[in-house]
Amino acid sequence: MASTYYLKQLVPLIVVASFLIVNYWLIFIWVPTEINQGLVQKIFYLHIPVAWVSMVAIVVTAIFSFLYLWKRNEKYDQIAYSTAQTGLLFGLMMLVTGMIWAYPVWGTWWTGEAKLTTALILFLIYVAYILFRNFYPPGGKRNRIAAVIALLGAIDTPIIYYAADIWQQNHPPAVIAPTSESAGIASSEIYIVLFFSVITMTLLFTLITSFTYRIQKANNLLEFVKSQKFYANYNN
Amino acid sequence: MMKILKIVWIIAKKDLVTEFRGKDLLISQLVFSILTISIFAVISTSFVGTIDRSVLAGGVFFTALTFSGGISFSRSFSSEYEKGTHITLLVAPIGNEIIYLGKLLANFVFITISALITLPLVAVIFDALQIFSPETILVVLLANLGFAIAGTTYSAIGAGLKSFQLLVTLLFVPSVFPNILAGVQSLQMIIDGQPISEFSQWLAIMAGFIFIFLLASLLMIDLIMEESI
Repeated sequence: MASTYYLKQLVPLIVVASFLIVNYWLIFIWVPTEINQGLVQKIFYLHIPVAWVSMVAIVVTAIFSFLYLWKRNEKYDQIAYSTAQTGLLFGLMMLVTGMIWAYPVWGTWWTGEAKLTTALILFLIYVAYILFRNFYPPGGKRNRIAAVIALLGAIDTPIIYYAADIWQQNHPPAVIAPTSESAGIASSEIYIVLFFSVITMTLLFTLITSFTYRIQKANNLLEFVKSQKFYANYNN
Repeated sequence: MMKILKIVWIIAKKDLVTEFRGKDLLISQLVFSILTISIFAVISTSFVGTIDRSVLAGGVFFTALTFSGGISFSRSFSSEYEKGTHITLLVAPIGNEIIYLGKLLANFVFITISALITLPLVAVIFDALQIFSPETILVVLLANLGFAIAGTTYSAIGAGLKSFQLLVTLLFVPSVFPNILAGVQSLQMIIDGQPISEFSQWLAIMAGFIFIFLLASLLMIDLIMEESI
């Protein structure tokens, strides 16, 4: 019985690990190196998928926060929080990989480019969201306000992007490196690998989120048990 | 409608009278702004003669205003919790949105007073006297309203927490980012002598921010201020 349980837990891990192995084989062995940007272009196979997953995380967090406010089902709050935690991890990866790519290609680690700026600000809003959840005493009020913060962050996103985009039009980023962003990325192999990487990262994201969700559920149970113990002591 | 406005004014007046008696918040907000401006002023002395320092004026002004505003807004609802008066406010026969609007009005007055003192300082220190124009009033008032709306909402969120100041500032600063960009760019265009039509899209961003954030805050304020577990 126990062995079936562990087998069930192992299957998703094995699937994601297999996808990761195939993905890295595709990136480093199968796909040809892009002619203009060279080896550094390969970071795109990590950067674009993690950026995609970060954006999905924001949308999922906002949807489940809304559902929590609507239905007041704690499960939705736990999903929103777990997604935000994993999204934050992928957001950090997106910022770091973007900077590693930008330096040799754009000649600078950071520019005022709209997508970069929006990603950074959203990252900071979600850091504040996670911090809030850690600061606030557990309970319905914390969950409710956390959902409000997530929704406010999501509502703010288009305004942040629009403002950053117009700012960029007024202050174009200085691109002083020998290549530019769109140089030569046209091979069909590149798109195949990119597509596979997006699927792999989405699977990895789902797996990590399912882990954080289970940890969150266990934490909530622990908090509940603690509160019951207090109540029992209080009555005695 | 008049009755609602009257109650909003009573709540705002309560905060304003309390603050004008003690002046703690206003003074600390001003000192923080002046400190920020001083730091930028000292750093920018190394650029004297190499760049036109007036290009920094908009950025310095809004940096000072954002951070000092973030700190002072955070106290808006927390002060009620410290005194225990939040219960009185919550049991009063008025909607939470009216309490919110009253606090918002008081915060708007506080940040506008702070802006009135810091703006001339920035203009003088950073050689940006062109900033004294009628358009600046519009830009500063719009930006301040945006700051006050977001600040009051996050103040309600952080109320009752021990580390409310840190948390409110952490939530407030990234959220008002579009407002900061719009304010800085508009002021810079005023300093460059450009007509209002040139920065109308920035004014539209500030107006959009105000509309969306105010609407969202009014819709969700009951969820924030609800006391049930």
